[in-house]
Amino acid sequence: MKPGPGPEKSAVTPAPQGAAVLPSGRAVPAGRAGTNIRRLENRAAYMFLIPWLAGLFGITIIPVTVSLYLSFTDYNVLSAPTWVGLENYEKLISGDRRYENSLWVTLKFVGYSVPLVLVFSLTVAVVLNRGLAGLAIYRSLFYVPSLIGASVGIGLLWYQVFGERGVFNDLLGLFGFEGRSWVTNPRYALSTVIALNVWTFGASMVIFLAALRQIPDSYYEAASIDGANGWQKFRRITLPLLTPVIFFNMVLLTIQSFQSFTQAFVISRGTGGPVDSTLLYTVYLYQRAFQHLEMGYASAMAWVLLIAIALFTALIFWSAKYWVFYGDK
Amino acid sequence: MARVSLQNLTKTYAGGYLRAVDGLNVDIADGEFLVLVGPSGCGKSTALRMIAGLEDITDGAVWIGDQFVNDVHPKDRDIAMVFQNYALYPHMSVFDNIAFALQISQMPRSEIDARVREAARILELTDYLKRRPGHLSGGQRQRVAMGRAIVRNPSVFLMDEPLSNLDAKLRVQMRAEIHSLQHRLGVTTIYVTHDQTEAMTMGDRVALLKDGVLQQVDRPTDIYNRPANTFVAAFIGSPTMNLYHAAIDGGPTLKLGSSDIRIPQSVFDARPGLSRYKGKPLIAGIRPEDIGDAATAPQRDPSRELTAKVELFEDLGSDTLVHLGVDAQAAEVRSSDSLDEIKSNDAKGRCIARFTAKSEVAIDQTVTVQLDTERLHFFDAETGEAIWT
Amino acid sequence: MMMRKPFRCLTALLLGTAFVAGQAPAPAAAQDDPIAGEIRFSWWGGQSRNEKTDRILQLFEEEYPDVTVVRENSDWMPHWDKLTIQSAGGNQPCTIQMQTRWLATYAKPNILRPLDDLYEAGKLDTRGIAESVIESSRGDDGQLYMIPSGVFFFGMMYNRTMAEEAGMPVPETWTWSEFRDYLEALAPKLPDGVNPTHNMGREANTFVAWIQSNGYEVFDQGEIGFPVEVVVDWFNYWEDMRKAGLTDSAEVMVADLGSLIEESNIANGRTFITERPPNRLDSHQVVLDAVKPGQELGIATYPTGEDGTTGMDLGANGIAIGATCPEELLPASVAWINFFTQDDRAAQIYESDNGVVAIDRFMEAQKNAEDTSRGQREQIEVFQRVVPDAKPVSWPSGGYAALTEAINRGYDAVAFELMTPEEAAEQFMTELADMLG
Repeated sequence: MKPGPGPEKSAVTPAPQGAAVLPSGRAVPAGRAGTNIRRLENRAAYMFLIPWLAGLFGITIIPVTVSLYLSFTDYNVLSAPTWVGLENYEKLISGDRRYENSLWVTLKFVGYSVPLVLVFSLTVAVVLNRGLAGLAIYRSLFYVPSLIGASVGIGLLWYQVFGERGVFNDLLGLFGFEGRSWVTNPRYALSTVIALNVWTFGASMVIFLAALRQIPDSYYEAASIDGANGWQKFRRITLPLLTPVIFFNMVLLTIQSFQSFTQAFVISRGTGGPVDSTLLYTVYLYQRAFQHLEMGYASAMAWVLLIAIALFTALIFWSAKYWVFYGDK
Repeated sequence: MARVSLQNLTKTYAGGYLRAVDGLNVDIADGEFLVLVGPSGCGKSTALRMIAGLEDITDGAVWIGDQFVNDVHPKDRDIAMVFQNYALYPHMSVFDNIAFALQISQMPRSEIDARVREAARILELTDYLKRRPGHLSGGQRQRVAMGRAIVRNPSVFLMDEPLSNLDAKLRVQMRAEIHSLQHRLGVTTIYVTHDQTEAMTMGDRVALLKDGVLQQVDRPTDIYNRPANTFVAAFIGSPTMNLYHAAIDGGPTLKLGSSDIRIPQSVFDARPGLSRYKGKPLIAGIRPEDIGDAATAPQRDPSRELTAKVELFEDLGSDTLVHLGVDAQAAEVRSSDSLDEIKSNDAKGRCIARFTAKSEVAIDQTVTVQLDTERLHFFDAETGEAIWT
Repeated sequence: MMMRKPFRCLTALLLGTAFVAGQAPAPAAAQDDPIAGEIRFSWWGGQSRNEKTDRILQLFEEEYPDVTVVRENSDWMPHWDKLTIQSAGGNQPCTIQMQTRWLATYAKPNILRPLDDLYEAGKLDTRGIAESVIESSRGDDGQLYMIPSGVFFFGMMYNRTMAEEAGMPVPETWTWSEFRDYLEALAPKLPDGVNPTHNMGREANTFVAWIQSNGYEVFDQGEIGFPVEVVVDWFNYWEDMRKAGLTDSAEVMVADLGSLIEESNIANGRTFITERPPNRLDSHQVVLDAVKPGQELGIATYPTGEDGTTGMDLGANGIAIGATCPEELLPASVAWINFFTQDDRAAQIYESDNGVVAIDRFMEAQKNAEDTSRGQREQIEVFQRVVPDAKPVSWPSGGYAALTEAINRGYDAVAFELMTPEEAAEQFMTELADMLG
């Protein structure tokens, strides 16, 4: 690092003393020249940031702000929005039977999905961590569903597989069970959607696998010598040390599950049925927005969802201090 | 009874191509502190893990007490192990860490409590029982690891380089603590380290391994004064022993490079086999402390003196280690750990001598050194075996 | 909400199609702007209609080599969803297949381009289309929004072979109770695993027939035109049949509604009778021929009220022009509409696939032509028989979608035994009113 040439002799302003270095590593002379270079570098930085900033504003911030405005209006897309104040929100709270139903359906969906995914992904990760031959293959195999699971194609496939003449019933038949249509029966349709969501546990599993690898073998060896069996090792060593990752996955999965749309939409063919049994919050939102052309009402729904997700996440964060152990540095 | 007997203990990998431990035979007496020492990769940790049951035994047998334990689960071998990284559970308190094994065995709470507190008292950890390992110093953590071991009252302690993670000063301090603790408890201990100083200071006996093969197992003084081969000679002792290719001629003269050193008769008496080597090449060795500054010697004796140029010296305060260039061919000892392999093969050899504080040396100075010929070591040039009978 | 021009003129005038001298202006001799460019055409339909449409498009592109048409086909419901979303973004195609039931929703100048100027200038060729049909293609604001090409009616599709083998031919007319008795008698004679009837309790079109045959209107000036008792009776009618085992199970009922033709129970010989648009007879027959060769499908009319009151809605399909279609693509769009509607070869290929062809000369020609498919011939014959008694419904904006949604949900809840018919009917009325309001 070269020292600067010293303060410029300026008749007007006293220049700041000393040398400086810009983040780019360039040494900068003090005084006027330094300020100019600094300004240039800042400008360059902003120029590089513009594409990302444009996306942030154009695709995220501005539409979100507009939707907040729309939530106080009556807007059917085909004509200009008219201001209605809190009417949409009032209707949500008191007057919408299908809305309440969608709340229950969504809570059920999240309430089953998140724990099931956590349990499955952790179990499979523990099994795979024992180091079977072909670990990489199994890991990829389990991961693939999470890549394609949220797609329309898989949703359609699921509809077929669990339909009345689907493969699943053939499988049941092998064991002597009577099949039925799992996707068009209000008692089972939501379970089918949950099953599809749980099938994509691979992403969480890969994260658990990585975390398991971090636990030193010597912990388990010491435990072996101390006489712990597999279950005790899991419960007293593995699980406590995994709590940060469990927490992470739990937050991610919760947010994801609340936003889940494609699977329920495709399996119910856009109806959220039968009899609104798969009417997730997002599906109902879609119906009000795009089928009934009530953008204002749907925007209000979207904002309520945002607040709800934020509250749930905050709840999980608050609970973390009771059960998540972070390694002390 | 807690003797440990290793009979032909062997560990191979890759279908026998890689022999990590090769036919290790050692009998460890009840209450003995045995140190397994050697350069990295010599198989000492593997041997320890086989004794613990953390590695499968390819061949040979391990007996703990009267029990043949090859196929016995670690938890049933009545052993306790201290790991190099201590393996303390970071999410449990010191109390729980120490108590872990007892909790697993479903001992009554009160008894667990008593035992843990007793161990904590011995190790001076009583004030830290509620803390987590993350909030302890290195030395304290080490003691917790010890606590975990002793609270189980095992027949055998196994320790895998427990002091490697500590800084030098702490290491010295803990060395003494472990040593005295073991004396007090009287538990058979097998201790693995790569540091020969630890081995020499702590062990009742030292077992030196190289490439899976046991080189020598003996009391520290014996291993130091009567090394079984050049490897042991070079490994034990710091700085390392000076070894040279040399020859003995008819007269009792050792031809060391261009110098002739007279060998006293007592040396031949002590080593009957040496006479067979007259006229044949061999390796001669002499430890740095047995080479002195002729200028400060009580008596001059040219028959056992030679000149050399000072290349470098290290002033330790109590002594000075002087690195000299001598006109003698150094003998290299192959070891995966030593730097000798990288040294260039020039005819001029190196020599390290330990002068007393009274000497004054300067670089490039030519000095005369005097050898204590009573303390010369001789080894076969081909096999490296020490020459005795 | 304004009511659209009533359909009553339509039926009377269609009776005398052979004598109608629709004095629509003759097409202009030459176009001012070049007929060139890439236009999009979106339509709905199954496999065979897609093929027919594609062949017609190819002919059109050969005739006008400077024009390419981007095909955008989809299933029935997605077609409307798509149009809604595209309109919201100003992204709708230049030419869009449109239907009178949905016209009220989309007939606004910012979604569809009013066609009066092109119609008056004679650029759109409407020879042979009855005046009343043109009138029905106007929106609430009185502007013309689509050029109709096919008129359609509703009815049931049944497996004639099964009826014949059971020795019970389907009568030309029947009341609702006679319909039920027929099914009861037929059931034991049907092959194993075949449902006597698809459960039409959730089918909007059949429900419309029920309402009308009970003497009510579906919508009256944009409000619901029937009382809740009609709904309760409807639910009970189908519940009785379902519990008697005369219909498919509730699960199958739900799955069958949204299914593709290729997967439907009727086309696979798993149901005796169901609700299907008569103009789709051929599409279904093609599948049945592959699955159960030798079996034949036929068109049956809806049951009437006990006193003989009939009920049946009537509508027209046509093509509209998107509001966002740029000026330079208008000639190509107009040329396509004219070609599809008026070209002899197009009519021959299409063969009344999406409603009996509106052009009078074509309808007669098709009925009498030798190579007309059996299905189309039957469609035209039945059409000519039922059209005098048809009662076209005046659908308010979003009305058909609302009715469909409400009846689906309402009857499903009853069929899955989650609500009693009375409860479901009350909920139905509330929801329907809510959606219209």
